[in-house]
Amino acid sequence: MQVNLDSWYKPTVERKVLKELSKRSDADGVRHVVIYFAALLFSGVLAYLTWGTWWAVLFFFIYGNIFAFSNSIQHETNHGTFFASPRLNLIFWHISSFMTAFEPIRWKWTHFVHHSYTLHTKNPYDFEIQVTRPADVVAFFLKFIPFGGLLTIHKSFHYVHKETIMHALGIVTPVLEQSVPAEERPKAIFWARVHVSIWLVVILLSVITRSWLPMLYIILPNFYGGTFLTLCGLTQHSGLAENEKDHRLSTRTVILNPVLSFLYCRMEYHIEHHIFPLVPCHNLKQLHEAVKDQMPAPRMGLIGAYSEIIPAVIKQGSDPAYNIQVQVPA
Amino acid sequence: MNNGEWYQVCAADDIDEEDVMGFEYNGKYYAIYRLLGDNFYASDGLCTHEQVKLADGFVFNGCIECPRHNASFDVKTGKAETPPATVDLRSYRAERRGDKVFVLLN
Repeated sequence: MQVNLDSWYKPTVERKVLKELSKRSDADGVRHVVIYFAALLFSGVLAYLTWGTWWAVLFFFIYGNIFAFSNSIQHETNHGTFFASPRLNLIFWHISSFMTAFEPIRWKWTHFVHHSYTLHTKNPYDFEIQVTRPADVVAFFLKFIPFGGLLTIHKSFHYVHKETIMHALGIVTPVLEQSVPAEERPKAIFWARVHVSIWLVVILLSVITRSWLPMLYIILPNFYGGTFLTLCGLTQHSGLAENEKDHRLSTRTVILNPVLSFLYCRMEYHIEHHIFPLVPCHNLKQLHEAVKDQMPAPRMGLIGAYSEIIPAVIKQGSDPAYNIQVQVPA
Repeated sequence: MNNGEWYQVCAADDIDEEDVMGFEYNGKYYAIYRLLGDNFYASDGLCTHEQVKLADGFVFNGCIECPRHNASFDVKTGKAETPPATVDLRSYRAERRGDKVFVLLN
């Protein structure tokens, strides 16, 4: 398979600058996970202490939303750039993969395809397209609501839990067949079985203790706590062009507040991440500064992003060919 | 056995330490690496995963990383160290002679 990088748009960056930005750091990664897990623990303790009162609803909402951002750690460790140490990347890749309910092998290989063929709809298909066309507008809005995704699970062709259960049963789904090499599929099935086994243990624990708490802490956060992760994640490509070889046309950079930017592991600089995936998330802001004169103007905040995404997705509900026309510097 | 031809690739100073440079010879693309000191190595120049030019990547800790998917190869041996690369790179002998660098191509 030939991928000519020259056929994809690349901004000009001095090689020494890019190499410096591409260096990994254990300190940056460790600092992130310490703050992240401390915040998760703190919100989890508050949820426990207030269990039985309405305050627990608020604190579980906070806990669940922090928990769901394990997805961002999964993504960066998937690239192997979160830490300098391969061992630390591997350990936190497995931890965060379980937390975000991503069977790690499937998501490693589909992410390779996603980077080679961002938003390509055929040969090969990018299984990480978040809003397929024609857009299901109701399903799009339900993604932001706690437990909302469950209402459209019958329409979802790769709902992560459903897919993992199928893989655990040894069923070779289209995503496994098309994106994961045959020699890697047994590993995907193995890790799917590990995840499902842990889920069963947690469910059993909830039954034995006659308490929702084990499930609320470990399995259900991805169902009730995905609001802010989804708000951030759907800014990446929604409403933009498919089948283009210029990430500026298919991908969006957004300027977020420091809290969301931290939880989201700087993935709001998403055009820069796609063009230069060697650069660790910790350095994406600096990379953005280095190339911003060659990029479309970033959207300012979630409001800035969704002011163009929502009208575009609604239009794509009836006109699958529609996409936002991005102005790129001459 | 030295079957092949020693090809003068570049001046030694053309490559920084812990860096890579690409070159073409007889229509084929190669990569030459310089590790710390005067240690030069060479390999095929395209990633074995999706044929991306490795010279657009970087050398870290003795490995060249593909700029596309972060697949890495041991510069000294060509061994594929991380996925998505699963096939090793073919390596070639490289050495410095005076201020020039030569690669044995066959």
